Amino acid sequence: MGATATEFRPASVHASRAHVIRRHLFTYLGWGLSALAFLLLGSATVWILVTVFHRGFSALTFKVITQVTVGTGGGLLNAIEGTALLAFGGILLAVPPGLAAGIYLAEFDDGLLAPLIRFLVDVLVGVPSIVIGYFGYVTMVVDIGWKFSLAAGSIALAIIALPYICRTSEMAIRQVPNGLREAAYALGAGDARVVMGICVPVALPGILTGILLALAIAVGETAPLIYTAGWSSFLWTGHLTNEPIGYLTYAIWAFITEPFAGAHALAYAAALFVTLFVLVIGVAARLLFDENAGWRRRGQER
Amino acid sequence: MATAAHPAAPQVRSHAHPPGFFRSFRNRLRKLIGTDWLGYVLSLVAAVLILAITTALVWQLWTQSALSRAKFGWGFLVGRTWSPLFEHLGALPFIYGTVVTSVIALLIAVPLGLGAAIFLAELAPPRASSWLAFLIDLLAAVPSVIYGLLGIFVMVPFLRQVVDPALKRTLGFLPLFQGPIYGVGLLAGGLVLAIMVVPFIISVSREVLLAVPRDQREGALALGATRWEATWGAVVPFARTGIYGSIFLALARALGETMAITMVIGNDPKIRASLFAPGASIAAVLANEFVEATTPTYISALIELGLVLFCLTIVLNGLARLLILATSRRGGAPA
Repeated sequence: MGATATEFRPASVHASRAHVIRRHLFTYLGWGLSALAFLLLGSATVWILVTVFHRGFSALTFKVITQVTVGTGGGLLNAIEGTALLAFGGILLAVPPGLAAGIYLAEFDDGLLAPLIRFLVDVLVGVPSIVIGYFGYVTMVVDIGWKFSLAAGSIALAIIALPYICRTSEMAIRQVPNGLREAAYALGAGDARVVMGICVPVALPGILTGILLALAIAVGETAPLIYTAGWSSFLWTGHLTNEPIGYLTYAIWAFITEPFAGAHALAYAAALFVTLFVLVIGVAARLLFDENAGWRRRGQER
Repeated sequence: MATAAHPAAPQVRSHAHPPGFFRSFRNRLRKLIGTDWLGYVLSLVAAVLILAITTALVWQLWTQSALSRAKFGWGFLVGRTWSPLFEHLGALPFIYGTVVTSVIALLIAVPLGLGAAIFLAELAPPRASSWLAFLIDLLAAVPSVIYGLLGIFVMVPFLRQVVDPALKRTLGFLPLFQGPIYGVGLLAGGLVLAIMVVPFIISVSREVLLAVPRDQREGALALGATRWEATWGAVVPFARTGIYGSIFLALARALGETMAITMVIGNDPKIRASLFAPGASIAAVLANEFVEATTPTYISALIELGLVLFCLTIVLNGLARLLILATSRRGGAPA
C-alpha cells in the first residue's frame, strides 16, 4: 500500500509507450480485481440466503408450526414461542435503560462519567456473547438460583442488546440540530422538556432503527442462551424462573449433529424462521430510517 | 388523586389543551419534585447501570476463576495439554486454534473486503453503492448459527472433496497442508470466520474511503493519474488508519465468534501443524464443554478461558476504535 504510494509517477510528456500501456493495464487490473472481490462476496450473500430459503421452505410443513418438539422430531412451536418470549423480554428490559443511558451520554455529558460509560459501552458491544452467557450462568442461574429460565435468558439477551440501543440512541440524539434545543430553551422549556419533547421525538427514527437491529440480534443469538435459557420441549407454562425454555437457534445448533433427516429438516425450518425474521427486520429498519429521514426533512421545512 | 380534581387545585392554563384531570395532576407532580431533576437522575441511573453490569461481569469472571488461577498460575496460558479427567488444564491449544483461525480469516477477508470496499466507494454509482453495501450488511445480520449450519452441510463436504485435496496436491510440501483430510478443522473454521467478518471490513472501510477529502483525489488526478492510480496511490493511503481500524474490529469479531466455529472446527484440543486437522478455539470450548464440566477446577478453568477471551477482545476493540477515531478526526479536518 505504502510502496505504491511512493512509486506513483504522474504521466509526463516523456513517458514511453510501454510505460503508458503498463499504467493502463494496472488500472484495468485494479478495477477488475476490486469488482471481482465485490462480485464474489455479493454472490456469496445471495447464495447463502437462497440456500437457507430453498432448504428451509422444502423442510417446512404444517406440523412444524403447530406441534411441539418430541425428541428430535415433531414441530417447533415451543421454540418459536420461546424465541418470541426471550427476544421480546430482552428488548423490553433493554430499551428503557438503553435509551436513558443514550440520553445521558448525548445530553448530560459532564466530561467525567460520560466518557467512561461510553468506553464501557464499547467494551460491552465487543464482549463475545458466550462470555455474557457464562456471566449469566454464574450470576443468575447459580448465584441467584433461578436455574435455566426465561428470566435468566431474557436478562442475558438484554445485556447484549443494551449497549447497541444505548449507542444508537446516543448517535441519533446527537444528530438533532442544536437550533431546535436552543429554540425550546428560549421558549422556557426545562432540560427534561427539551429532551423528551424535542430531542427524542426528532431522533425517533434513529432510535427505533437501533431497537429493531437489537431485536434482530436478540432473535439470532445462541451462545448467551445455551447456559441461561436451557432447552425445553414443552410450551411455556408461565413461570419466569426455574423453568427452562426452548428457542429456535438451539434447535439449529443441537439438531444438525443428530444423524436423522427429520432432525435436519427441523434445523433448516428453524434456520428459515430466524433468517427470514432477521432479514425482514433489517430491511424494515432501513426503509423506516430512509422514509423517516424524508419525513423529518419535510417536518423541518414547515 | 381526588384533590387533584378539586376546583381549588392550581391549574396551568394553556390554549391548546384545556386543563383536565390528568394534566392538573401532572402539573402538581411537576411542581412537587421538578422533572428536570428527575430526568437527569433517571438517565444517570441508567448510565450507572452500564457501569454496574460491566463491573459485575469482570468481578464474576475474576472471582469464579480464582481456583484455576491459584492452581495453574500463568502457566495456564502456555499449558499444552487439556485433560479434564486428570485436571491437567492448559489453554494453549485453544489460544492456538483461536489465533490460527483468526489469521486465516483475516488473510482471506482483508484483500476481499478492501477490494469490495474500493469498488463500492469509488467505482459503483453512489445510489447503487448504498444498496449494494446494504446487501453486504445483510451478511453481517445473518446469525452465527446459520453460518454453522451451512458450514457443516455445504462447506465442509466441499472442502473435503474438492478444496483440501487440491491444496494437498499443489501445496502439499508445506506442513500446513499435510496429513489426513477430515473436512472439519482449522481451515474450515478460518473460512467461516472470513465470510463472517468481511462485512465489518467492508462497511467501515467504505465509510472511511468516502470520508477522504476530495482534494486528495483531485490533486492526484490533476497530476495526470488515472482514476485507479488516484484511488490506490492517494485515497487508500489517506484512509489507511481507518482501514487498519476495520481490520482490528474484524479481528476482535473473529476471536469472539462462537457458534459457527464451534460447529466446523472439529473440537479437538491438540496443537497440530496441519490446517486440515481438527482443532479447538477458546469460544468453541466454552460453548461445548460447560455442560460436561463437573469438578470445580474444570469449571473454574473454563471461566478463566472466558476471562482470557474477554481481555483479548477488550484490547483489540480499544485499538480498533482508537485507529478509526484517529482517521475520522483527520478526515474531518481540512487536509
